[in-house]
Amino acid sequence: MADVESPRPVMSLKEQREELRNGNVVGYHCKACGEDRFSPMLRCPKCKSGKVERRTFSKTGTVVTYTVQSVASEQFLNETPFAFAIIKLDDGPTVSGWIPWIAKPKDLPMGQKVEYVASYKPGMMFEKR
Amino acid sequence: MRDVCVVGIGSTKYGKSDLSARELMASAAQGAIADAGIDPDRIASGIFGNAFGVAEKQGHLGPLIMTALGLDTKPATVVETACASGGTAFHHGYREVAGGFSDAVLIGGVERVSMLDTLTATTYFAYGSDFTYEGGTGCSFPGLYATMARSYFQRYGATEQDLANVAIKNHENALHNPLAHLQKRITMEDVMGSMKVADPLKLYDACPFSDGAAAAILCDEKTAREFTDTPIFVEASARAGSIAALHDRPDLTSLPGAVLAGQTALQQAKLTVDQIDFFEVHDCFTIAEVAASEDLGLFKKGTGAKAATDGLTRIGSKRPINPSGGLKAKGHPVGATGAGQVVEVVKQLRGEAGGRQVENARRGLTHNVGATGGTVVVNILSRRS
Repeated sequence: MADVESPRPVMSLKEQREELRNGNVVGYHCKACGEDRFSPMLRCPKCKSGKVERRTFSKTGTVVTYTVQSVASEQFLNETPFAFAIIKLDDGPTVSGWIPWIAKPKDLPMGQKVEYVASYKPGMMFEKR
Repeated sequence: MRDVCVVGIGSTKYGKSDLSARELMASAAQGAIADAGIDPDRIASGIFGNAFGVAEKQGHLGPLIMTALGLDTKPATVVETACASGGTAFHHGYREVAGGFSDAVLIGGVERVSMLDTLTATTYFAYGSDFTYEGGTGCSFPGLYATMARSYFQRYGATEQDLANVAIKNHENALHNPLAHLQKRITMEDVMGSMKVADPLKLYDACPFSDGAAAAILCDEKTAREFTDTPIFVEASARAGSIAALHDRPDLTSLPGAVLAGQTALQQAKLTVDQIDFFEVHDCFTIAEVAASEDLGLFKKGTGAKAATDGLTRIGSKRPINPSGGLKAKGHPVGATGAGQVVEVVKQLRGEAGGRQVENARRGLTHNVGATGGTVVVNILSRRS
């Protein structure tokens, strides 16, 4: 094979972080089957197509499941208690996010509507709507 | 492909150790060499599981272990698949012998984390997740399994008490395991009253951070018969994967890789799950044992938690799970766990498990999970006689 550079992902994690910091929820979209993903995708895990593009998703979504973190790792040490949640975006894929000020399950019913808010913290922060 | 046998096993006690990873691993290995009665110079290579070697500021652990064993010219490899590292080491040792490349291989796993403070250990364990999205979004390792537990409760109506029964049973089994980390009987009140770590999971739903190492010597059948008339046969060794990040999975009550690895192993061994006498499964959290019992087909989807409450997984029942005490009570030296499961199965099949012996155990299965199922290793071992 000639000296051809391997293809780069359509968006780097660094670019995704920069977009998130600016309040834009961006991820990956399969042009062949329509599958949306938030984690890096060079080939669609669903239909196996390589036709992947970058797409902006909605900032609002619904809590699918979650945990209340009373013990956290270094970067989130001073945020406890908070919820780590799996959130289905209204127009987009399912993502991982965290929701501040959640101390007990009563504070966060399953199916709670939430919205992404750009934050200085790493990861995606959501607030209750 | 050649038949592969386990001819020797060794294990340190699990718990807090003042030994370094290389010393722990070499100690377990020396135990396995003595148990096999093999001349160590006949060992062709070493394959070891280790997840957090850098916690000791030491990379390239393999040669250190081999040198300590006086096997300095023999090649060694350290494999990392998070909590499935030990099972993965076993699997690659199996392939090396089955494929005819070596007649005797030393496999094992080791971890030493007790010198880390709780905050650092919590952070290290979160590195096993898809850290960009999970650990880096504040999720601890227990948090990942807690989100699965909440999904399971919502779908199947199981309770925190059902999960507590898994912990109580595993602690009961570990009372008869002198190498276990936690040898202490616990009650429903102990579990329910323990600190919430990641709601709905509590401290007593979780395995401890343990130091420890486990090892085994694998040989082809012909070589094995030089050392024993009753070798333990590896009937199957299968691996499979799952999407790493939970948010990209359609179902959070099951680990797809565990279902696949379990089915593949049973096909390889030409057995049904009813022909397996006991199961050493990866219960890093109580919910993980419930999911494992369903993923492997021991119980129907949604009934595993109830089965634990009904006592169907105790020694003496139809489906004994974790006679060793499991990760929950035997302990979880991350990289060692999968190798330690093999050690337990061999002990049981030899009838050497003392007060936790599963009667007439002829076949046993190990189920070793990396993180939340990104890697899963399932092995089936038997004493063919």
